Amino acid sequence: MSAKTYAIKCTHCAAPLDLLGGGRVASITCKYCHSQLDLTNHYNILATFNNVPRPQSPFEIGMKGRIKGVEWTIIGWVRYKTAAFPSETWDEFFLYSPTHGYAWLIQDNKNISFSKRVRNFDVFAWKTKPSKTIFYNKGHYIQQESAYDIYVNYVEGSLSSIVKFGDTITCRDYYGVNRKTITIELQQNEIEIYLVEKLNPTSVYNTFNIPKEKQTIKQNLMDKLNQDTQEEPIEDFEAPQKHSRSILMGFLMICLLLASLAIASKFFSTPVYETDFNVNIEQNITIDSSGFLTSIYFLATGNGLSSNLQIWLYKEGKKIFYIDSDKVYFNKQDLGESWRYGSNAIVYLKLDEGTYKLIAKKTNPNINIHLRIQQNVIRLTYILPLLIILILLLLISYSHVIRSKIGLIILIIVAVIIGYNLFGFIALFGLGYFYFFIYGSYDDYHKTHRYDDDWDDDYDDDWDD
Amino acid sequence: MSKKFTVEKEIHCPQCGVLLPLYFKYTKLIQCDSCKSTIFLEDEGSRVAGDSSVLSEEPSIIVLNQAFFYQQTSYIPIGVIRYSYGRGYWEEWWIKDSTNNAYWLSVDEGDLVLQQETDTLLSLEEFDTLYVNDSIQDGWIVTEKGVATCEGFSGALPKIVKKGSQYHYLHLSGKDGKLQTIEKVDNNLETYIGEWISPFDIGKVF
Repeated sequence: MSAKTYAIKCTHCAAPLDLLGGGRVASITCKYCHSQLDLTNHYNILATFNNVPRPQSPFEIGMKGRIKGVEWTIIGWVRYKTAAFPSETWDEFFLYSPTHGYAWLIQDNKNISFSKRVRNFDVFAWKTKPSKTIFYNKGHYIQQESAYDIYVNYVEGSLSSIVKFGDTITCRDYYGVNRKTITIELQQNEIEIYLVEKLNPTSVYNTFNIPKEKQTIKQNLMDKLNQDTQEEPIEDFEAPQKHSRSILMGFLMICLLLASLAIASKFFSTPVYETDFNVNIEQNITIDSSGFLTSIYFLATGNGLSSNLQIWLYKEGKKIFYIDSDKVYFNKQDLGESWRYGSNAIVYLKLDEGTYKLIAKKTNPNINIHLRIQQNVIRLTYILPLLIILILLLLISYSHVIRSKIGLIILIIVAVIIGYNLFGFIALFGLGYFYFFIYGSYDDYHKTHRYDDDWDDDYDDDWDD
Repeated sequence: MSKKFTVEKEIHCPQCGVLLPLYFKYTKLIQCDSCKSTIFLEDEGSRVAGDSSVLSEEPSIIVLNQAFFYQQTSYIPIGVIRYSYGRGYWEEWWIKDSTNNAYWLSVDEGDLVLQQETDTLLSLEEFDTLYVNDSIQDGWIVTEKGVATCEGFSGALPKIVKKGSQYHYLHLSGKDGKLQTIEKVDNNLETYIGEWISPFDIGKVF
């Protein structure tokens, strides 16, 4: 299957011009005299651009290559330049396939991308309320840099529109995952949406038969791109790196917050009441802050808690809290069993501000009990596991950056030690569960979403018998 | 052809007698695979139309009677009309899914639009006065206005088309990426609404 080729002569300089492409081709620009002919109107000359130097490029009009399993012919070429200083230039080659229509092959000095216009983007909603984030085809895309202007620096060959030297376009790029970008182009009153996908440069050069000496992406950069795109596609490209950096910063901020809370828990709490008693006590205590938890800590000599220790807290004559060796009651609810044996226990309560009456009774006079009540207590039991899980997720997400799993192994060991100290063997089960189910599925996802190196094969399977 | 799609009826070509399968009961027009005669289906009978058309073989992502899938749904192309706009052409494929819902799939050099017929809210007068960039109710904006010439058809169709006949059309873009086509055929308006689909989302059914 190949594009039909018709030959005409330039109506300005009589140079032979190959008319590649389909019926939607609207203009052709002669590569010798830079006259632009209107294909919709008897090859009338729309403009002639004298003294325009022809830039160098490894790609030439008429070359054929396979991208996404489809054979494309390069039928046109536009070089763009950014208006802002320092300016950047890049080439866009207009592609044609009889079955898949028109697309662009974009080459700058770092990347090669494939771009195709899409028409199922909700332009109406975007125009009504332009946003930094957009949603397209079940994916989120984020605008990371403001809109920028580009202008046409060179034109050659066939295009589906009239594109002249100096034409300016305003672009907005929205970065998504899997090396995809949505580019919104505004030119005069027209808005066009393109889905841009980064390609493996070596594969593109190979499929278009570009010899090594003409490949403009530097070999060391290409090696890196090829290696990265085969292994970890998303983060290693320039723009998504910014995206991943912002996620990393978010993760780090949460970790920092949790770590701060964990450290603050050691200094933040203030004593409310502390005593050693071997007789019954009745004492008023005052809670000044309800922002965090209130802890009640008991330490008994021997196996003292198994004796009939009873604690009550009353507020304005109403029972708020009760605990003995069998049960716990708090806020009108029986919370089940308490301690059966042991020498110490700690209870965390969410108490409102106010004055409480504390009553503590015990039946065995030979046992001394140390009682300590603290307020503004931050419970490490909640924070530390969350912190550990976040750090683990962070490390797993960026394991490709670390390039080895030594850091991961160290962190797992630390997590095991802390988990074991806090929760005993249950923590080991929890970590095992985390590894096999959460990390396992995450790792599978990560592997399956690596650079789609077989882009050449996907559609081969579909279309090539 | 996929086993999902069943032959609902069979008729004999009145010209050459060959058995022709009908995959959709609303078929009004069919071309005989054997003698290329154009056959009108009228109630229980059928008759040969005066002219016939043979479409030139062109590369296409959609192939007659070859099932394809899009978004986990398989479709069978039953018929195709080719329209010319001067320098090029596009094709309108009549397709049905495995639950017998019928659609039109417009294929214009890699631009695919899947549409279903809907009620027309526009009057003939309004149709004639609309041009590119004009807006109508519900935020629809005219993106293209033109005249199409039928170059011929192949397979089975739910309506009568004649080779060489012309109609005026409007293409409109709306909210949520929806696309609308309004056609003026014999002083009647036919409206179709649907969505653009990427040719890369079309897959073969084996």
